[in-house]
Amino acid sequence: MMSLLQACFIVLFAPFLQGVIKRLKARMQGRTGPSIWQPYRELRKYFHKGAVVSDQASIVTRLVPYGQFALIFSAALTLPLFTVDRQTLLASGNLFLFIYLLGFARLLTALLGMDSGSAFGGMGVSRDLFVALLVEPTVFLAILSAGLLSKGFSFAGITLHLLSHPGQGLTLTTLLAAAALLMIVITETGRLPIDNPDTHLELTMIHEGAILDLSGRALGLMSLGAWMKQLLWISVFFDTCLPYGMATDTAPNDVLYGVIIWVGKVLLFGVVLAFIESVTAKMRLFTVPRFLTLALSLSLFALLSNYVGA
Amino acid sequence: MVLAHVSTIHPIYFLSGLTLRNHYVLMYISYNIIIYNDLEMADVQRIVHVSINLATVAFSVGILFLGWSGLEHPTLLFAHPLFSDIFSTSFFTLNLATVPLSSVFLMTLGVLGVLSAIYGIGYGEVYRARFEGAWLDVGVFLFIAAMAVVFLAGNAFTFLFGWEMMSFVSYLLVVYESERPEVNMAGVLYLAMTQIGTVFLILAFYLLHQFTGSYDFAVFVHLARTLSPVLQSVIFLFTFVGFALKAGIMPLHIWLPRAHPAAPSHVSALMSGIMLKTALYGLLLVNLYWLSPTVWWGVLFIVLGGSSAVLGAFHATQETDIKRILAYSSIENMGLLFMVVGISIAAFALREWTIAGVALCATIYQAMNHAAFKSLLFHAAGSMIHGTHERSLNFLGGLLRRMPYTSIAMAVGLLSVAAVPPFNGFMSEWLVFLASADLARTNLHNVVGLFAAIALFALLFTGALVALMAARIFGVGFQGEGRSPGARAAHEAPFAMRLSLLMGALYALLLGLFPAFIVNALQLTLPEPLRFSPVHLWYTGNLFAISKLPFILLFLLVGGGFFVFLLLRLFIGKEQRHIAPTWTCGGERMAFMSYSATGFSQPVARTFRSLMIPVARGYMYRPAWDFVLKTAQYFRRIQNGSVRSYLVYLFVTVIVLLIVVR
Repeated sequence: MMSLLQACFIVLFAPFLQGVIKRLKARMQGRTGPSIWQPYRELRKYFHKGAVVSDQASIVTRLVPYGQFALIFSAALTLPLFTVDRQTLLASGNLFLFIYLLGFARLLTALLGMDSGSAFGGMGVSRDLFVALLVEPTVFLAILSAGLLSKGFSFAGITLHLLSHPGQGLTLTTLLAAAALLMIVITETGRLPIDNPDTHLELTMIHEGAILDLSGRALGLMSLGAWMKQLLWISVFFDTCLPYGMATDTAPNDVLYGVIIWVGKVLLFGVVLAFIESVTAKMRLFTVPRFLTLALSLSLFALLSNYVGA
Repeated sequence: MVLAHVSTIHPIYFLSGLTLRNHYVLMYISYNIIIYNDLEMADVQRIVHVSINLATVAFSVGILFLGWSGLEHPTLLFAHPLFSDIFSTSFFTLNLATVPLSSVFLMTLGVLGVLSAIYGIGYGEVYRARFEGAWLDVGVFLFIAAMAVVFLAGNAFTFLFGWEMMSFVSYLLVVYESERPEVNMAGVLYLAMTQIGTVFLILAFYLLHQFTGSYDFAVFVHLARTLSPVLQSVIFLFTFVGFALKAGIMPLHIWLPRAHPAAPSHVSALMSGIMLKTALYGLLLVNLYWLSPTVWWGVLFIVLGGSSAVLGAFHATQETDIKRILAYSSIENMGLLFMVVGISIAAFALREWTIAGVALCATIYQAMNHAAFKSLLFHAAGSMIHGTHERSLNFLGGLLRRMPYTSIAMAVGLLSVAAVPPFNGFMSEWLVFLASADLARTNLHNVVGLFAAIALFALLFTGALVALMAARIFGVGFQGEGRSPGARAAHEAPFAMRLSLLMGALYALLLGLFPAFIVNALQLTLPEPLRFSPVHLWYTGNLFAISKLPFILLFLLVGGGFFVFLLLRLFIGKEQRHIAPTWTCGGERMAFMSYSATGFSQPVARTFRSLMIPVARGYMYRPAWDFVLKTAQYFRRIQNGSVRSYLVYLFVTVIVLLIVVR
């Protein structure tokens, strides 16, 4: 029940975070920027508008937006956000399940991008999957090495372990894993220096390329899905590295406290993201692997520290 | 007409005396039918073709039931000494028996046999005009029978007999389209490699016999564990080389990406789906059921399997020929299987029984899944080639609208191979994950744990590569617009092929939907100490156990998507859609504008180009070949063409033999 509530919270809160980041970024760059409620307005607009569909498009274009949304929602069910509930809805080896659910969503998005037969779609999809090649193992290794000390490989288990042994959060392993995860979160949320969320320039876009041919409800759902994914990855970072302040039961007071802390943490992370976006330049596509291999090496060291250290 | 038949010399004719006789019987029957029924020759051929395939279906169903009954009650089917009047050895004994492990593989073989034979009814039509299609059908039947003998073998002779029979028949099937030059080359390479593998197997069985005094597998089970560790390691190495060759593990894989695409598609499906599994079966039998493994065996498995998985998946993202992609994907999957066997062996050696059991269970489950989806993929690829006459992804496209059944089958196969939940590939990879992660966790501060973690890394990296491969096949081949006249004029496969594709897709889906049932059944196949209670596996205390997981996921995926659809529909209303051409920056639209398969994977090729270095060719096969040629040069000196010197050689040899033997 609690996980259902948390997942719904993700759906409702994701556009807000996007709005906040955009606004902050604009402020840091000396612009006024759109209102923080702008993403909600955009969604409203997309959902009310009709759609223009390519003559090449098949059933894939009709189904995938809904499927992708459902998958990201299912992934949200496996994560503890503001309370650790032992009884998470999906079985407890869920680190693997989480990554593969998002992988499925990515695969569906890829098919969607190829569906209109446009070169932009293919380009975005090809790049997206290419970046994923390094992202998926890295994020897995990072979480695994942070979680090796806890029993079972669920986010709930890792979080509970950290909450009951707060000192574990400062070990070399966790710090290295945190650094790797941070880099991955930046990549996975489609932000600078990997991807630029604010552009439709064919030379730079990754995620925007895949959804370029969409309009109407499909575009709304895909955008909402992308924002939810962003929030999910931020939550993954907090679950594995900084779960402090999270409730461990479902008592209303504790949960309320957990919500407040969580929102604070997420917004703080948003500030960090906006700051990074304002001070870095976009990388060329082929320098991205260097960035990601750095993250990969960090997570490998995190893993090694489990086997070599004291 | 009849004479024309016989005069066409084709490799299939050399199958065996038995089939040659069959051929005459066949001709005789058809001749009579012509005389008495006034049928056209084409009709006769058609009847023969369909009836042989139906016989294969019946035979496969028989194998399926044999496996089913053998799972719970191991039975000795047949034991009879051959040539006992000529040889005094007990070696030549035909011994057929089922054990639980082989039963699982037999059932898989049965299902695949049914699917391929049904598929063959439709697919053979293409070949009937060119050769006698009936020979292909007979070959497929013999191929399935040979593999059944391998799985049923109860002693070394039967196993090797089945093994060689399987290799030989599959060689003939590979060179079936021998008018294509590359096919013959692929066949020769395949035959040579597989024979080298057999040599190692014979050596291993010889050693086992020398030290246990028997050829019976039942004896090996009891006695092989008592052999000295060094001897066991030697036997392990021999079987490892022999079976890894058949399984296409890098660097022994060079035959596989050539041979699999060369064969007709339903033969490729059988070869990839189940013939590679015979190697896995042999390895499991020797290493986990007979010998008592040591840790370094497991490490060898993990290292070679993991690198095969990654390299195979990488090459699968680079090839453009659809069947070559699938062949490399088979190498990748065999690599994964070897990796999990490695986890199981390492855990076995460390006396982590539960982990070893889970890993072994995962291996067999993954093998079943791979058989299901890889045969489905090869069948779908065959139907693509059948419908478009194009093999290269770069010249396909837009098949989703023209070939709906093939597309569904391909989609199911690709989603399974990409291991996305709740498809079958995911369920078995989940078990792989559980076993490896547990081994990594229980062996902190021990190097073995690190290897388990590396195996997980390989699993995930492979998974990402395979996702790219899947998106590439479907996105380039099935979506967008056709890039060649063949693709634009594609037609759907005939009924038998469609039926087989849909059945295969259903089979793959069913394997994914009932993981708990399958795992419970697979428990029966595990050696006694490795049995685990599923309590260990699913970490009870969860609201939903894994038996319900696929259904929950399915419900979330379908129900959730539908819920959102309804919500939007109810609160906002029906969406206005209108069709417009894809935006092409104002230019005229051309099919070649969309991303090609080569372009799609170009970033990967560029970044990971170091994976493309032909290490095996440069450092193994080339030097080995040079060595053979050089040695041959030396031997040529004694081959001087003079009869007198040959007589001297004979004389010397006889004298030496007399001295040595006496």
